[in-house]
Amino acid sequence: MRSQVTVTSGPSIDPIEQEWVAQAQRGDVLAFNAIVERYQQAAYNLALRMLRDPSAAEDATQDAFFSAYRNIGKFRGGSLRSWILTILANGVRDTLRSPSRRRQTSLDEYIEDGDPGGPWEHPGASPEDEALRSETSRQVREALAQLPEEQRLIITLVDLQQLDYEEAAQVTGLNLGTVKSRLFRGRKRLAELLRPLWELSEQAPRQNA
Amino acid sequence: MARFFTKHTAYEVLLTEHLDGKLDAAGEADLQAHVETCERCARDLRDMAPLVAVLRSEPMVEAPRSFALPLDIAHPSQAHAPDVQAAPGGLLRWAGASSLAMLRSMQVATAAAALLLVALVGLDLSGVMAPEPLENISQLSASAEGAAADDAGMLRTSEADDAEVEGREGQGDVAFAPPNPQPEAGGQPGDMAIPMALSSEPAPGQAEGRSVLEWAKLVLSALTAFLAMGVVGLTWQIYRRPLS
Repeated sequence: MRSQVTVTSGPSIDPIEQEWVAQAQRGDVLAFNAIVERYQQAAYNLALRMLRDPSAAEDATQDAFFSAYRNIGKFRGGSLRSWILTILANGVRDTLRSPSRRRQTSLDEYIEDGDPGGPWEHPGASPEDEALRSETSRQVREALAQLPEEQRLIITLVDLQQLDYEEAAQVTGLNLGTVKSRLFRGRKRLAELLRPLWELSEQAPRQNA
Repeated sequence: MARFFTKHTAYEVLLTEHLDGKLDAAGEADLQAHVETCERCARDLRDMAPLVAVLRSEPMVEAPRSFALPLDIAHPSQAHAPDVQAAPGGLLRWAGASSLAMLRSMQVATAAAALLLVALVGLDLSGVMAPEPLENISQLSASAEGAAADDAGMLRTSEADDAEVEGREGQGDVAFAPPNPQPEAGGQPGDMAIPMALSSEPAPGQAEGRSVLEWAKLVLSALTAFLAMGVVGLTWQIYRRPLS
């Protein structure tokens, strides 16, 4: 389902972003590029998780920002991040359904474990723990790639990008109940894919308290 | 249209909210009571909790490049009137409204101050505002002789005046005081003007010029440093990444 770009909801926009949007609506590309700078990593990660092709993810991300600039006049406030990711998600769906879509490649060579730019911070971990986490992360990425498109999108938005339910609903164009339901099914499917691996290798991560 | 929920579907939603920390106390109690009696939900909870933790700790991939748009891109259509929610009032609104404009102004001011400082340093090095060097001592000697000749001339004039006065006095009483040679400004009568270069002390005007130049350089250096720090700080403030 293609979500509408004009309808927004979620947390209110902060004053600096509000000014950037206002200036971008008057044609200030510099102001819009400040928005790009702030959200390009989140956008690229969403595209990469969905398309599993870095080159296609780059194209989709760039197209999304071009489209966002052309439609900046339609932004009515709310979560700017959700609005941009909505545009991106719509473009990604079109790409996934395109018959000329490129072959998917493994993400492993493009995702370095322990990337300092992310939340993966375990300064006191031993090499064995790091190796275990690295292998677990690889298994999760591979399992995620096997999910249906809509479940993978919800999991990526909520669990990887850490959007809240309302933002995820806006991006996907679904109601809250459907978001939670697909989230549950996606997680359940992932757990089923990973259970044999974790039981076989006893690599199940420790449950948080 | 009435929605139909199975009891289990409702608990699936509760379980999802529980894993995301969105469940209130009543919901937690309800879910806990259900999990104790439902093996399927208990297993789902057991499997999903560590999975969600792993997903949340997955690292973000760095963007391979900047996706900034080219500055010569055509500006968007103005058919839709901008309808952004009103910004909050007071200092927050002022800060948000002028952040980019302030950054641009500070960048221009920093560049201007730096250019002016470079120009002053260049003037100083080229010696435009410095006193004449001692190599032109022949000129200074000539000027010193000329100054001495002027004084001598003034003295002869004074003596001639005195002689005239004496002559006139011989002819009669002419009560007037012989004119004194007019002293040069700031000096005593008969004093020779000492060329500046031969004096260890600079003339007041030139010393003042050097002092002004030094002060100007000092002030511009401080101003440039202050503006540069402001540009860096404001740039960081504007372009910092969000927490999530």
